[in-house]
Amino acid sequence: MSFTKSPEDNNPVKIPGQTVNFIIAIVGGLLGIVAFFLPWIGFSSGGGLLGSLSGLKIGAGPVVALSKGAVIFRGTPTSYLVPIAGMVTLLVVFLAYRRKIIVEKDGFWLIALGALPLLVLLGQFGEAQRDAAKVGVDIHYLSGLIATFLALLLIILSGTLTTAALARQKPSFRNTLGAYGFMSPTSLLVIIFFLIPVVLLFILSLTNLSSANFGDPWTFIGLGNYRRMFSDKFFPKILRNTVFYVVMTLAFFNVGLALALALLTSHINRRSSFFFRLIWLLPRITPSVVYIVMWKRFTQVPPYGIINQFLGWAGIQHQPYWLNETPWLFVILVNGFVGASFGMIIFTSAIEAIPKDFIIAAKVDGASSWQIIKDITLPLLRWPLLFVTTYQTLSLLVSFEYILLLTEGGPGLFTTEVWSLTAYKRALFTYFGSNQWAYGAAWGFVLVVIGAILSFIYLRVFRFDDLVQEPKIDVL
Amino acid sequence: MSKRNILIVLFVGILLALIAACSSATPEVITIVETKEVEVIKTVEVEKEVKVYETVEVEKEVKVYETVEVEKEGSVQEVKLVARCKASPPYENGRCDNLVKAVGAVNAELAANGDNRRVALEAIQDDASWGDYKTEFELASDAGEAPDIIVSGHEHIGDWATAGFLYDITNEVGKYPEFADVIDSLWTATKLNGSIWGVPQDAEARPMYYSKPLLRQLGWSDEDINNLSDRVASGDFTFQDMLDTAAEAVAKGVVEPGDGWWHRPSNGPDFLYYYYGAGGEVVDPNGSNALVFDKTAALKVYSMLYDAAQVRDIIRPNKLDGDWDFHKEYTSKFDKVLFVFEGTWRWASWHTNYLQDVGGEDYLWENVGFAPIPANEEGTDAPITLTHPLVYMISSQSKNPDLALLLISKATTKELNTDYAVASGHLGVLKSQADYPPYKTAKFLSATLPLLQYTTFLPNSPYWSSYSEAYYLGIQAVESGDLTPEEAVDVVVDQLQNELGDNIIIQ
Amino acid sequence: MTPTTFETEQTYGLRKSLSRAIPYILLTISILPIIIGYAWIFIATFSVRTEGLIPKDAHGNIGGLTLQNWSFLHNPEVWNATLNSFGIAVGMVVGVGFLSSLTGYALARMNFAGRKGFLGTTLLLHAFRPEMLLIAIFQVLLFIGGIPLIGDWVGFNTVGGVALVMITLDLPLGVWLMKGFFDNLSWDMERAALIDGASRFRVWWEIILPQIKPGLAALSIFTFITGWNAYLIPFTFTIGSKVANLPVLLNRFSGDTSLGSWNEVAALGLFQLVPILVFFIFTQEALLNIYGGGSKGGA
Repeated sequence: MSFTKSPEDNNPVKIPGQTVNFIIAIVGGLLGIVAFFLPWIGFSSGGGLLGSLSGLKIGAGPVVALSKGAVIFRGTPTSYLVPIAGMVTLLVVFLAYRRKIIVEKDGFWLIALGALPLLVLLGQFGEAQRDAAKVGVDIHYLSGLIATFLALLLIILSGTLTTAALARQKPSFRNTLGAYGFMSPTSLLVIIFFLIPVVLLFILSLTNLSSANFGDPWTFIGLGNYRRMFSDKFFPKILRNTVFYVVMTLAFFNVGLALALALLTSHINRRSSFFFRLIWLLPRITPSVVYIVMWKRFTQVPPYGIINQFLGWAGIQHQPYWLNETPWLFVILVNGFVGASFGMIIFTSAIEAIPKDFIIAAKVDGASSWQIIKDITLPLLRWPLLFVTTYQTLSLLVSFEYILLLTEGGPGLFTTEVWSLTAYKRALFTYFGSNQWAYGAAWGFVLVVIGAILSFIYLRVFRFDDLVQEPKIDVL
Repeated sequence: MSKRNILIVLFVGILLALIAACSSATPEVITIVETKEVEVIKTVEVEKEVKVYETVEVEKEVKVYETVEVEKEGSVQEVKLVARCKASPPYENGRCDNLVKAVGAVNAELAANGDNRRVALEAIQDDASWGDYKTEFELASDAGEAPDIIVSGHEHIGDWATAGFLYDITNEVGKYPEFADVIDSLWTATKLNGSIWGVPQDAEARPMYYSKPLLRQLGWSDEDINNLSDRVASGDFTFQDMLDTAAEAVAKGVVEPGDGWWHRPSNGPDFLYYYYGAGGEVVDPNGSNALVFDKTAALKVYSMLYDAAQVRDIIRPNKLDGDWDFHKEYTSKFDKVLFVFEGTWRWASWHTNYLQDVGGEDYLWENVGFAPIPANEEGTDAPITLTHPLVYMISSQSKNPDLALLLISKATTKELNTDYAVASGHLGVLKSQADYPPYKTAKFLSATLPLLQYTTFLPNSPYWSSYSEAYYLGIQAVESGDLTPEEAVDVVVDQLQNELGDNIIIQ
Repeated sequence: MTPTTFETEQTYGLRKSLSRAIPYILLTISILPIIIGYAWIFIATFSVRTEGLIPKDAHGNIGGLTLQNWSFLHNPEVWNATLNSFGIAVGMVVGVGFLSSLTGYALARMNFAGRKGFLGTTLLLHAFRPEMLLIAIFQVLLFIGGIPLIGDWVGFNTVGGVALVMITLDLPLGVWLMKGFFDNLSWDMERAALIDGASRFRVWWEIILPQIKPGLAALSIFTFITGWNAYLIPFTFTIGSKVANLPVLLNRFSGDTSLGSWNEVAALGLFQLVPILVFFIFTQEALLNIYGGGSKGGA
């Protein structure tokens, strides 16, 4: 890598490899169009190349049967996107060529354009195959296989060429490229399995998808689910519960106790601190089913209950079913004992990382332990505090597993029911298993919006921008 | 690399892709291991076979079982079916195992009919929770990868038939003689919109169990105790009598407050029979798809439960805490709770898990009696129970629904079904089982079989789940004392209308 | 030395050791409920029934100890499930560790458009529980599954698809933690290597990764716990639980239709706990490094 700034080449038309991109885009576009007609020329078959076309069985239903086994495309509503995408690609390529609007970024555009019809095409195969399977038809996609190979090949080839060309053209591009290279696997996964599902979740909340119409195309019902949610009689109660639960657990356990534990364990010798932390980690790693039964046994009536057994030994007669007596106390305890370990570990390691000289200097000056904590440790814990608070707020907002197992939102009527539990119950958890996906999605989505607003506020209050360390690349 | 080279590479790539695609799609030699029972004449079919492993088990006769690896070709066509079951191992494994055992009979019949297809079955069986299991089938169906046969609670027909996931067998049930043996009333549970969507696999009853020692402590004579079952069956001993007895037991200190009578600790099919018993209807008599909520009947149920939990200390106000582990252990010995509403399958779980060191099943026979759920004086005034049959259903995606159904029919025999029933503590589904010795000798099964005559069912409806959640909400509310019965009815009606809209009829 | 001074020193020493003892006392009180609870679980797995902490036999006397609850150890299915659990957990540790350190490195060391946006987004993504996203992720898997070739590996009802989903859901936390570690690594060696002309990837692989081992170990434990206890995703996205791991088995034992008893559940639960404990003991030191430090870190 050269560190002297090379003069930028200001003649963008001469990017090597550009022609190849053109070709690829054109091939992609043409292929998109051709692929649409492949079935008619006998390419989608159930067997070998052309010979075993007769092996395909034709079914009724959404898949329209054509002669010679061409089953795909016709039945799928979005299939017309394929040739359209192909044509658009060709059009853009043509325009670009005519007007010579070729700048650095064109390489990427062209890849995208070439890949677009192919990608849509790929989706089509899946759709057609599913529809076919629903009516009991088995289809192998020869053309699908080819298209997949081609798409991958084209994308990789075109991408490599373009980037190589750009890198040669403009050295500083290398750095950006490197960064994107490092980011791409995670970004790709996060986009595919996280961001897209999140968007889908919102779209889903506008439909009426449930167990009873799961196989059908989605029907959009506007904001009906949201209306239904806000008109639920127990909505205010659930909201109150959620706020109470999150604030109490967060303040007393996930941040408060976690901090206390971290401070305490860092003031004792290493071996003992190791032991205490190990014990505190137990609740987190215990299977929830077992952990919850343990708590139920704590609170159970005599002769089973452990608390009551101790009370009995102490000679106290009042021995109720404690979980029912003080449900909130136990909901918060149960979650808090699990939640505290996360903050504890983060805080402990943050405390460990404080340079020893600070502390020694303070001790030399005669500061007491408490003064050291107050004046040195805590201010240095600002960032981990922000992180744990934000992270655990979101965690608590959406956590319901332990409440579900402990009280199912009871005892009685929504006593300890929190928002995420309602969302889960609506979407997935009913005794008779009718999942109201869309309605549950509405509950879930609003919750997440609240979480987003909260974390935004946190980040503003704690001045997130200041806290995110600038990358060291700029040194170069 | 010059541009031309790149293009060459590109086209070679395409060519390779083409070749690869074609070659992978050429007909493969599929080898299937088939277990065949063949009279051996050593000269047979040597020209076709690839390999012959012989696991020669020479039995008394000159019969030889040989495992032949046959190359698939024209004369016999192997059809693979997939069955999906949920079962608590090992007792309930018969759900799928019976299908596996029926494969031989199916293939024999196919051979006899000159049909060249042969069934090979893949059974997937585990013990997921019902909710996860149901979700899995829905996702699989939407993905086009549904199993051919699925065993599940009959109430799922409501959702699945509506969603188009099931194969309608109405016109085909008659073709299989085995199905004529199925107890007629059980077919009710397989119907939706006049069509039949499944074949009953098992049944059970949900009786009232009572503790003999506790009744004795209450001052009942042995004769009174032995007669109780008959008195319930005749409608003489009613639900109200049961509550009074339980209240008396609490008052006299025979049981702790709240331990007079227990029902299950979480939602389930059981709660519907209170409503039925109080005279409520769920299915619209006018034949619409909507469900009916009868406010009077519901009010009766809610008032009764409110009294029991809040006023008379018969049942704990927090009984619906979902704690099954505690519930099972606490009720097992019948020395703490007087009356328990439970399922027939609990019998086995009680004595195998909690009573081994006090005498096992004998302990239960000695100390526990059972009867149908007593009649509600203020309602129908007839004893009642509820059965929740599991059914074999065929996916609409199955390519061989006829074979799937044939397989089910061969698994619906008194031999196989009795094996399953005896092992799992479920009731049989066939008329012929009543006289079938292995069934009759199973003491508990034959003792509970008469309960089926009082039985009712859940409705098959896509709206049932929401309905049930709302109805259960009311039960939770009155037992915990959060709402009075009247308020509860209002809240439930409100909830039902919010959730179901036009699909609920409030009476 | 006058008596007074002596006394003062003594009081001072006493006070000092008292203040030393305070953390121990407080910590011991804090872990009491956990100790008692786990003691009960432990006792329960060796008893027929318990009342409070005391095992009881059929006649209400102390006793009734049994090994029956642990008989599942003879069951090959359990060992198979243990193996599956282990496979999933290790897969996740490797996958999440690799991807997070790749991304964390870029976030800590390189400047590119969308850097802060990415950090903010990933934190927020944490608010979406897998349970909520289940159906949406299913639709995505379905689409991928329909693509020939690729779909056979990472679509619905494939082990690959399940693995990718599980790894992705754990990435936000991993990326944030790893970024914190990289922020606190010394820049000198790396810079020297870069000036010598090494590629970024090589620097990352040969110079940075060895230094980040403690961080990886710390992240590993969180990931390992998630993977080891995974239930929902592997169960729902494969038909007929292709990957029956320990949580799936545990789920069989509890619940209203289960014929097993609670004490067996507890035994299986403890069994499931052991490997994580062992894992934790080995990574404990590293775990303390999870937050790299510095006044303005970036955990």
